[in-house]
Amino acid sequence: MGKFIFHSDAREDIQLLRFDHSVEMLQLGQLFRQLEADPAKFEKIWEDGYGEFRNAQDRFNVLKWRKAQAKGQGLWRLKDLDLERNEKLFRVFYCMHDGNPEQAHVLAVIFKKLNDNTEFDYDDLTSPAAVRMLRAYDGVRGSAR
Amino acid sequence: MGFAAPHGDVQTILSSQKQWIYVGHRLIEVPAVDIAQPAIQTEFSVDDVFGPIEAEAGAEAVAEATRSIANLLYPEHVESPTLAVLRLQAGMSQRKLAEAMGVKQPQIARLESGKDNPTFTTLQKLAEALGAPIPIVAGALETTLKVAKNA
Repeated sequence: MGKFIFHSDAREDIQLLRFDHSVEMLQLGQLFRQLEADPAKFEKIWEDGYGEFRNAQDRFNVLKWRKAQAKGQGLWRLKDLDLERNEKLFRVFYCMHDGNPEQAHVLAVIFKKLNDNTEFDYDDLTSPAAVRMLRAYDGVRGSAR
Repeated sequence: MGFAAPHGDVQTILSSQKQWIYVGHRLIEVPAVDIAQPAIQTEFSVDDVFGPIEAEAGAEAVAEATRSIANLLYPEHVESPTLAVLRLQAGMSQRKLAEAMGVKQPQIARLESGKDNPTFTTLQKLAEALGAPIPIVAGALETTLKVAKNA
């Protein structure tokens, strides 16, 4: 069975987001729970490009974070497409730990305003959000040594 | 101040600052014991993170969010549900269902993955816990086994 392990940064993100987005955080929580419960769905979180916004049957979308991956940092991004279709844009960032695909380390959950990249821009690895995610990633990698 | 712990004719008095030892009638102060700080938790489970949010939202809101997962994550099985979809439609997590049936959560996971073929008693328990008629649960089991076979 798959397992999500939340970094303290991600936990803090969720704790803060629940004040303004309690229903969405509840929904996101149930998504995590069911992904853990369903190994066939869980393995999709490592499938680059899985899930399409246009396909109403797809519940989530997965992509490698290309800019970070190009620098050798194996970060992934998951979108809840149901929330996305309701213009609630949340980005879940995670990584694998020690080559174990049954564990996903969630490093951050970012709320993105519609058409607004000020909070987070995939192309800018120097933004505060990106810097803390990369630091968290290094922390997770470090703990494997 | 701490407490006295008798060890024969030697007693130890502990506090967070210092430590004294009674040897016979003499009280001897010894260097403070290094008290390890509790390790800072840096990793959290889904329960750790979402449990408090769910507790705050209340059982009905959680059940509603769980039900929505059935339609959104398994649209192909809304009409002919698997055991997992039946559970989600009942607004229950695996753990909640396990508690209602008096079994362990991994047993539910095995049933839902089609690895276990349950006895009639288990089927009855499932039906009762899910609040669904036995034929519906049996149908869901059949779909589950079919899906597992085709996986």
